[in-house]
Amino acid sequence: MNILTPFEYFAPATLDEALELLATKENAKVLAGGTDLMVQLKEKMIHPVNVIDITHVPELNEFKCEEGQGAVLGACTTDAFCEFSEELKAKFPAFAYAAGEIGGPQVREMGTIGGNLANSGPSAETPASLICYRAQLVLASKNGERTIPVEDFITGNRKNCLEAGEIIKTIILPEPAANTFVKYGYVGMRSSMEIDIANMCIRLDVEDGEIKDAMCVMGSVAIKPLISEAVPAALIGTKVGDEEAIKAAAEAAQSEVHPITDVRASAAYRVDVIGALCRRLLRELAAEIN
Amino acid sequence: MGMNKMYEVSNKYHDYKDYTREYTEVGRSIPRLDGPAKVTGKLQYTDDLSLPRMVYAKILRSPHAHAIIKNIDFSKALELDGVLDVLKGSDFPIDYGIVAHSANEQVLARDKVRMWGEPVAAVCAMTEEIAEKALELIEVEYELLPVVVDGRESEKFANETGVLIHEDKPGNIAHQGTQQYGDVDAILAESDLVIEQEFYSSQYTHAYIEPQAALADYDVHRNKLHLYATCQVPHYTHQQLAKCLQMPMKDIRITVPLLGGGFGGKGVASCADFITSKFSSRVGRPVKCAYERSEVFATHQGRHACYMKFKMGFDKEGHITAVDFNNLMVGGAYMSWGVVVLFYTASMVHVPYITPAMKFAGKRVYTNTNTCGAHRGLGGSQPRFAMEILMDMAAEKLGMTPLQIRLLNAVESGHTCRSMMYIPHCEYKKTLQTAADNCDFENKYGKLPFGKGIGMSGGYYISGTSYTLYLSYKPHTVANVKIEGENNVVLFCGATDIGQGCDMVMAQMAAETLGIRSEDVKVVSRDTMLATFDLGTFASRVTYATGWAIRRACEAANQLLFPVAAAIMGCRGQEVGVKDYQFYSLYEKKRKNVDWNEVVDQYIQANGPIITAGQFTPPRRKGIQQGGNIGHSPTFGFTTQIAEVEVDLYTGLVKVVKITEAGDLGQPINPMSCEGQVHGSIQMGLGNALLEEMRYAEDGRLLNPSFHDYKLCGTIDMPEVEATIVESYDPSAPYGAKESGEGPIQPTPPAIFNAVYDAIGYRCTEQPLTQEKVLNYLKSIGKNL
Repeated sequence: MNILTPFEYFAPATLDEALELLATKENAKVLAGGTDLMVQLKEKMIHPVNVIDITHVPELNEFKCEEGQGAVLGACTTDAFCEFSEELKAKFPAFAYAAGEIGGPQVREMGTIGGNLANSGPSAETPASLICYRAQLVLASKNGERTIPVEDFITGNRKNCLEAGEIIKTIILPEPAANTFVKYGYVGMRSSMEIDIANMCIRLDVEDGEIKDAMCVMGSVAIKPLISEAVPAALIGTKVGDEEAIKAAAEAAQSEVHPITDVRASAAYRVDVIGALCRRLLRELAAEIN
Repeated sequence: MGMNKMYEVSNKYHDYKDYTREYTEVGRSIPRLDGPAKVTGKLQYTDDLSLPRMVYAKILRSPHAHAIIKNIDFSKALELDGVLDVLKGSDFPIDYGIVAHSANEQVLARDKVRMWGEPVAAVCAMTEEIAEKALELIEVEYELLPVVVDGRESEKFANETGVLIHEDKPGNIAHQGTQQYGDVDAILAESDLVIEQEFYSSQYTHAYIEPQAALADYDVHRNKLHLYATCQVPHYTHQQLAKCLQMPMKDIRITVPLLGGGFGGKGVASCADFITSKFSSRVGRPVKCAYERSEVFATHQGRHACYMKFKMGFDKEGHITAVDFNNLMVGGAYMSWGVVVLFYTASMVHVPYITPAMKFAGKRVYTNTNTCGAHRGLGGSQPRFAMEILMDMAAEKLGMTPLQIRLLNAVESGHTCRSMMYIPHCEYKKTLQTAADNCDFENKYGKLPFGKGIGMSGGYYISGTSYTLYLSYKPHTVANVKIEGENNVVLFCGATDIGQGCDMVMAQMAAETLGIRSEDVKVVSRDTMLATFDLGTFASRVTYATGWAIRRACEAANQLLFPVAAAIMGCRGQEVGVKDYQFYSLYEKKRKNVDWNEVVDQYIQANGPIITAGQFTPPRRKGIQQGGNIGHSPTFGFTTQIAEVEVDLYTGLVKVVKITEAGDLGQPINPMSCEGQVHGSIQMGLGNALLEEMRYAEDGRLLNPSFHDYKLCGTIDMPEVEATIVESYDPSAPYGAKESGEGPIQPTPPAIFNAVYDAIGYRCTEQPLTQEKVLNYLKSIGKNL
């Protein structure tokens, strides 16, 4: 498999330079690791005239994670960095875990969080946990910057709200409250280089053993990460670990998904594992909290 | 040891120390001598090779699974700058195939295509990119035909629609056959227990790391072809090239650079071999063609899917009384190894349990799917999968443990099957007991908490075939040894190292007999001109067959050197031994040793270099009928595996935690390599059991022709493996060694299936054992979390 599309390659050294190129170069694709882009090029799914490699831009590689200040990640922070960062593992364990479940070790060394988001695949690993942690994205273009929540970013299967000439610059993770607990889980067929059959992230905000607020985001079951309405409704006001509430939440999650049958799994199995994931994550969260 | 005698003696020796000698080179765990160069990328595989003025070829493949080719228009492709030549089906009027009398594969489809991905045309161009672009410019007009994908429907489909995949095969039946040994119906009627069960073993691919590639260098002035190819049977490819290209064999030379795995998949010639050769002769330049992974999937010729119906009878003590086996084998589009595999599935029923009566009815049908062929453990894996589950089912009914019923029925050395297949040497019972002891099987089976289970399975395989794929009585393998001053010892033997390590093993065997170090033996193999004749790498034949040839060649060399050594030591020529670079007198006390180099030097000064030859052909047996010769082997290796699993009660995911293996492979030549074979077999079997399956759309398109969608188990998915080589020595074998690389794949799937039964009570008989199937079972009994 050869890349038959001849393209011009640019490797800007500064953010301004990158944004200038993005604004002026027609039919350009952004290279932010290449673990998806290179495959699409070889498979002849895309035919860009210009490829702009943004991984050398210092602003896109910044990382801050200070006490009480959440975390700020440049878009080109690698999956492997997030997987192994002690700061992220302590403060945002579900996100660090999700980053460590992308592809395999070689993919995670090349792949970036910004790339995983911008690729906007329905089975992407990181959006669910980022949404649960209430993460925001700073999008930048030659015309300026804007900030949007991750949950508003992905709009469909490989679709997002990036406009022409615009890239993800930063991922902002706000400091989680002490009573916030987040857990991510997935179901695949093997332990590595896997496309999730389904994944899920659950956040519980807990006071005195009671669930005050909850969030459940599901991946691989719709064209974009599915933010549950029924799961929080089933959980809020119940005691952490209440089996009735757990089962009701799982059924609520299952009622919301309409997955497809494909070569990886049947729709029926996906519905089953959404229930299973929900029960497992809630039981694990209960064990952690109580 | 005379050939005719070697079987008869084997069973007289129960104490191996009676006749084993102290080996110095055989039994050494030597890491691969070419390992560092492979790992650091220094060594070159076929696709790494480059010749001056080399150009590139690409193959256009059919997007349809069954269609008539109405027209091919190359005009636009030929207009593209850099395109040199094109080929189509009519350029190759002669069919090829590994089994000469059923060969029906076309280099490029002539009148119609029968499967998705079938080669239709080829382009030769200055660069690979231009060739790939040119493919898009070839216009092929197809007339679509109805497609049959499901093997169970193929016969009905042919009869109802009148559409045949091959015009000369009514009912889409590629081949069928029956065998009967004893009055099975009557015996089953009188048996205390009869278990009747259907099984399905799925179609999967070898997944060798290195895709096929070929580089042809045709000398247009001398009309001679030199082909570098990814081929595990250079001799057979040599034959088929000669036939299809209508060239004498003497004008063709095949060199096989390093191979990145084969597992049977490279036991057939590839389209790339033929088109590069033809292009090279037409454009007068070296031509290379390297497959993409999707092309490997399109043409891989992997494991036949089998729909199997078994009836297995037992008496009340648990002895097998009879086996009735009906096998519907899904062959795909062409014949390949089909006839051979069909009869192997019959032969492999007779062992490793004593089977007093047996009846077989088998059919291989054509479908519009990938051609199936040879795949590690060919023809053995499918019935083994079924029968090892049947053994557990019977044990349960009879109140025995899986270990007890297997020990009761296990064959032993000197067993003659009803099919006349003869097992000269067998330590299967020892493998059963060793594996069971090593993981405390008897105390765990049936006693683990719900969700955890342990399961056992046996397995075995041939160590070579007694019969060739075409009528020929010449020796199956030949070895030459050259000993000279300048190069020391060079061993010539045309066996093909496909990654299993036979170059190392052959050096060890030669060094053993010559009394020198393995590292000092240079091996010339994998070249039809430089090396000597060998049938190739299949059927786990290489160690046994080349072993005899090498031993005989080396003994012949010793016969020249011993008298020289004897003269120096002052003893008789027949009373000389050699090891560790020293000739020594077996009896003489005065001067016991003389340096090997001194003796060789004296010999060469007087006579010139030594060149000796040895050869081997497996013995045949009389009285074989009904196609029962397929499966006969000089000897057999045996193995037992015990799988321990944990079932995720949330998702149905089966995690294999540990596999305890014990193998009877005779005397291991290189124990490290043997253990590698076991680990590799288990990794492959694990995927076969849990994940792997070729999936087709109704129109015959392959749905998962990539490692992205076709799931193999990765290293991270591997369980802990405890492999033990049991004490064993096969006196019929040149250095006591038997098969070690195909038997161990057979028990892995049934052991896992049996373990899942022990864990949750789910008796699954259809591969693969997906988490979806397991979860559906758990839901049906209300045990999912």
